[in-house]
Parts: sequence; structure tokens; C-alpha cells
Amino acid sequence: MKIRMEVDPGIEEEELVIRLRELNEETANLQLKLAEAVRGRMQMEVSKGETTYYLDLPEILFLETADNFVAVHTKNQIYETRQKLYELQELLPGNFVRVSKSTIINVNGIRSIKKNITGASEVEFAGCSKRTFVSRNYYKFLMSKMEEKRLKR
Amino acid sequence: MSNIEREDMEMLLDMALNKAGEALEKAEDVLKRAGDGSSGAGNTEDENVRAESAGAQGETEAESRSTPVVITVPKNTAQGETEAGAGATPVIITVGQAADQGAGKNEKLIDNRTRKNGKIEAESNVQVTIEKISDTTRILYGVILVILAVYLVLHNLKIIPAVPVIPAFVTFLCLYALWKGVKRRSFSLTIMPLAVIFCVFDRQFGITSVKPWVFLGAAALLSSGLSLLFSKDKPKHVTVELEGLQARRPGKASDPDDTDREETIESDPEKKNEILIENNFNSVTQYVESESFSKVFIENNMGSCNVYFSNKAPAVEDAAISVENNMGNTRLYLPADWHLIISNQNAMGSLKLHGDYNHDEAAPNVRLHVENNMGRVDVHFE
Repeated sequence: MKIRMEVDPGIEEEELVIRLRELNEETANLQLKLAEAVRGRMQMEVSKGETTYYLDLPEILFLETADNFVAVHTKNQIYETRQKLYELQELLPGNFVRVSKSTIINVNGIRSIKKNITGASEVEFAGCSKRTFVSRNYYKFLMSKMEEKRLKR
Repeated sequence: MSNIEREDMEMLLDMALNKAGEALEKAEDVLKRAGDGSSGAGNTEDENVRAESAGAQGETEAESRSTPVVITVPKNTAQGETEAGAGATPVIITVGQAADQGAGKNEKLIDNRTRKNGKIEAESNVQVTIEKISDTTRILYGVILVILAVYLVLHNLKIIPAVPVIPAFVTFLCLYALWKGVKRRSFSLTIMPLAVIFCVFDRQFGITSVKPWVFLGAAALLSSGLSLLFSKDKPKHVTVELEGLQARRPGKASDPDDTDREETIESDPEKKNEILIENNFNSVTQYVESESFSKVFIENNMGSCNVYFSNKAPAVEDAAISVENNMGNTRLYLPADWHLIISNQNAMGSLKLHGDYNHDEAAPNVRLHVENNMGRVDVHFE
């Protein structure tokens, strides 16, 4: 597969076009990866008190519904957003996975998952003391996502 | 025992005795100061319960304490996480009379760490906890130890046969629960232990044809039914005075005879800035707006509970957080710039402090009381 880049200062918005003979698993994967890479550079508008912050998506560990807002957790901070969790789920890239009715997590930040047969499993994040819970209904889906990331021969 | 083992044992014994001696000297010194501090006023200000973590970025584990005086002498700690259980040399000394000073629980701390360039340098840190144990608990533990001693001697003399340990332990727990249930006039706490005793001793009672789950199910139904039939009207919101901390706990009555916890109850449904977080068997995360609470009561029973406090100063000066953790995992995420006054009642559980909080008394003061029963409480400072 050739990779060709054309530089045109006159275009309004940058566009990435992949010309294919057919859509197969490999190219679909490539499309997914590109989409994640492009969205990963995007930012999310959140607030804390009166201040508005713009977070890079990789900074976000998980998003969790609180009383009347969604708490956006980074390693050291908790921000707020007024967007609904289901809206965020549609907007966020594929590495953000719904793990319970109230939580979306960034699978790239996961350090460990402590399985609990009877209740919710517990997720620990790298370089951070925060934990969140994975409900049993979403556990398999999360594990399939983690499986995709694993090194394979 | 070989000579080498004996020498090792003697060496260890010497080391332990030396440590105990040093700790005793420090304890005497601390008790003198504690006596000086409390003799003048005897008010609650002087009986403030304080605890501090061992190092600048340290992690302290409060081991379960049932003795009146606990002295922990941690080794010097550098920055980084250190568990007191591993890095410290805990020496436990019982001082009966000193424990009677003041009402209830009384902890004092001598902290001779120095601050240089804004960092705390732990030189030596002596934490002294003086707890008054109730007469009931004291008598109970005493009776258990005496019975054990008598049993050991009589069993070795082959006067009495060997007792199966697990059924004996279960029976003891059930009898204790039964006694508590009768005292509190609680149907469930009276009937369930009886059901368990019937299950354990079904052969002796000649009721092997009835399966254990039938006993337990019937007991659960019976206690629920009787509770519904004979329930008293309980107030919707009850304010519990827990060693100076107030929190709202719905429909939970205190035991007037239970001297372990000094509780007085008064119904006060009008209080809006008191927050109750209750979790039973579940995994929950809660967020508390720090500027809008005066008291937070967290009760976690056999579940996992994460509670985040927003990074702001509480609106009131006497803000307090009370945690009751029963066989569960509770994690608190508190702002590191709060000045905490921590007290804990730990029964076969662990309380860990991760990171360090603000030791400047001018910072917002928050009292944290942790009652931990066979569970784990982690407090993270962020």
C-alpha cells in the first residue's frame, strides 16, 4: 500500500482519503486506528467552578455520572461537563468504553482490572489512585476491547 | 530448640525489650504532657483526637487496636510510600489508669518533625493513642482469655476432651449477637443467631432432617415478619452524635448501654447541609461538594464505596466526616490542603493514609472519624 501526501495551502479543511480496491478487515482496522488517532488529538471542553478547561482526550481516565453533571476524571483532577453520558459515548473515540450505566472509561489508561464474580469489577488506572467499577453486563465487552490491545504473535 | 535458634530468640527478645523500654520512656513523657494538657480544661478542645501520617508523602496503616494505649514509633521515612506496618516498630503497651483520663477516646500526638523548604523531614515521630475501652468489652475479653487458659490446661491434663474450634467460635459469635439482639430488642439479631446455632448443632438437637438453608430462610422470614408486625414508628431522619460528630442516619437507633460509642440521638430533619451516603453490598461512587457540607456520614456495609470531595474549603469551620465501614472497602479522596484531625476505631480492619495532608492549622479544619470493622478504608490526599 502506498502512502502519498499532497500539500495544498489553499484547502479549507484537511482531509484524509484512502483509496481502496475493496474493504477488508485490515483496511477497516486501519480506518478505525486513523479515526482514533485523529479524534485522540481532539479536546474536550470541561469546567471546574467558573473556569473552563480544554482537556486532551488521552488525559481523561474516565467519565462518571454524578448528581446533575458528568464528572471527568484525569489523574489528579475532577472536572465537570453538562453533556449527557450517552452523548459523550457517541462523540468519544473507540478507546472510550461504557463499563456501567454511569461510567465510560479510557481503556488506554487501564492498569489493572480486579475481577469480582459476585459484583462489580474494579479498574485501576496507571499512575493514579483512582478506581472505578465495571458492572457485570459490560465486563465481557471491556475484556474484548482489552484483548484487541494485547500483543499477539 | 537448637542453640542457634535459642540465641536468635534471645537476641529478638532483647531487641523487643529495648524497644519496649524506649517506648515506655516516651510514653511516660507523653502521658505527663497529656495529663498537663487535659487537667486544666477537661473540655473537648483538649481532648482532640489527632493522628498524622508518618512521612511527607507517607502512607500510614493504623493497625487494629484493642489495648488502651498504642504507641507507634516509625523509623525515619523519606519521601515515597511507606507502610507503618512494615517500616515502623509498633510497640503496644497497656496503661490502665492513664486510659481513664478524659471521657471516651483520647489521642495525643507528639510530632517533632521539622519543616525545611516547605518539605517535612521526618526525624522521629511518636504517635500515642489513648483509648478508653468500655467495661463490657474489657470483661468480655478478660473472660475469653481466662476460659482459653483454663481450657488449655484442662485439655493438656486430659480432663476435658478437645473442643472443635470452628463450631465453638461460631457459637460464641452467635451467643454474643444473641445477647446484643436481646439488649437491643432486635428480632433479626435474636432469631438469626439461634438459627445458625441450630444449623451448627443439628445432630445434637436431633434435627438433621431439616436442611440448614431452611433454618436460615425461616429465620429471615420470621424476623422480617415480626419486625413488620411489631415495628415502632421510627423518625425519618435521626441525628447521631458520634464522639462529637453529627450525621444524619435514617431510622438508626443507638444502644444506650453501648459505651463503646457515645451516641445521642435527636431527630432534626431540617438540617440540609448534612449528607448521608449509605451503601450496602454495592459498588458506588459519590461526589461531595466540599463547600456545601457541614457533616458527611458514610456508611458502607460489605460493599465498595468511593467518595470524592471537591477541592474547596468547607463552608463551616467544624466540618466533619464520619465513616463507618463494615467488612467493605471505602476510599475517600480528600483535598491535600485540608488540615485533618483524624480519629479511628479499628476492629480487625485497616486504615491507610495515602499521601499527606496539610499540617498547617490555619488551613481548613476537617475532623475525620473512621469506624472500621473488618474492612479497609483508604484515604487519598490529592
